[in-house]
Amino acid sequence: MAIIVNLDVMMAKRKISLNELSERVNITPANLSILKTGKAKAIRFSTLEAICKELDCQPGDILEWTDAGD
Amino acid sequence: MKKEPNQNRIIILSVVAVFVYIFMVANSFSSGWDAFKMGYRSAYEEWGHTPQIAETPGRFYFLSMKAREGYIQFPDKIYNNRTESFYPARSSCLVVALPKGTEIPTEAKYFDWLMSFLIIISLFLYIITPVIFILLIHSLYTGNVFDKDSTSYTRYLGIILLLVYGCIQGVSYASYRMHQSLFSFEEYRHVFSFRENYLLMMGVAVLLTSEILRRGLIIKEEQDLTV
Repeated sequence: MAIIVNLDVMMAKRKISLNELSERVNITPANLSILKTGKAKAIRFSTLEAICKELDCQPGDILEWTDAGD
Repeated sequence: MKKEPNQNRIIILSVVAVFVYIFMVANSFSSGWDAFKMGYRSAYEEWGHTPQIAETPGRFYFLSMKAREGYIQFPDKIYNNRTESFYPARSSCLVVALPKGTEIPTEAKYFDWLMSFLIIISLFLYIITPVIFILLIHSLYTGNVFDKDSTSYTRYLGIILLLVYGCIQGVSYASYRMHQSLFSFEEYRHVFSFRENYLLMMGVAVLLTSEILRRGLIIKEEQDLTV
């Protein structure tokens, strides 16, 4: 996939676990895990906003584009 | 389990579909009952059993025919008891009994075997059709509309309908060629026509439905993977 999700990197920097983050942003751990492992097909702006607010970062810190192709 | 809003409709339509299927099979069986009885008696005697009736003509053939000169020709006559007179007539379907001991051309035997083979395949398809239909209805009833099983079952149903259609045309064509090799009439010619064309329409419609369900499945998967 051309968009890489670096959520695990940000979570490690902020020292927050998956379950804790899921509780704070009101998303199920399963969905957050889908996002973290790069299996998500799409992300809502509301979700992205909640994660960025909780991790105190920019969307570009979590999402990265590469020219890897599909 | 809480019932979905249209589960009752699914049940009702499924029951109607089952009854329609039973009616279709029974109707084709009853319309071919005479032919079945004649074929059975013919085979019974061929197996070496004593004929039940003193004079039995032999094997029966159901011919589809057309007058050689078209719709304007009436080669035959038929007597009307009401008016006590003969009227011009022509036949479109005849049952001909081939006398016992008549030599059958090799070409006719080949087409006869081909017909038997295709009929056996058709019977098998007729039997598995309701099984797949029940599996599909069960899948829909449990709420799995956009599901790999539902799309697969729908696709199988569409393919089976097209295969049945193909088998029916194959039987019809083999029958036509067999009759051509056995019979030739002065004023009639044999006719081949496509039969049960509604099966072709149904097969294509069901395959189209399966593709729509598959598209819905892709959209659902994307939706499920939207965080």
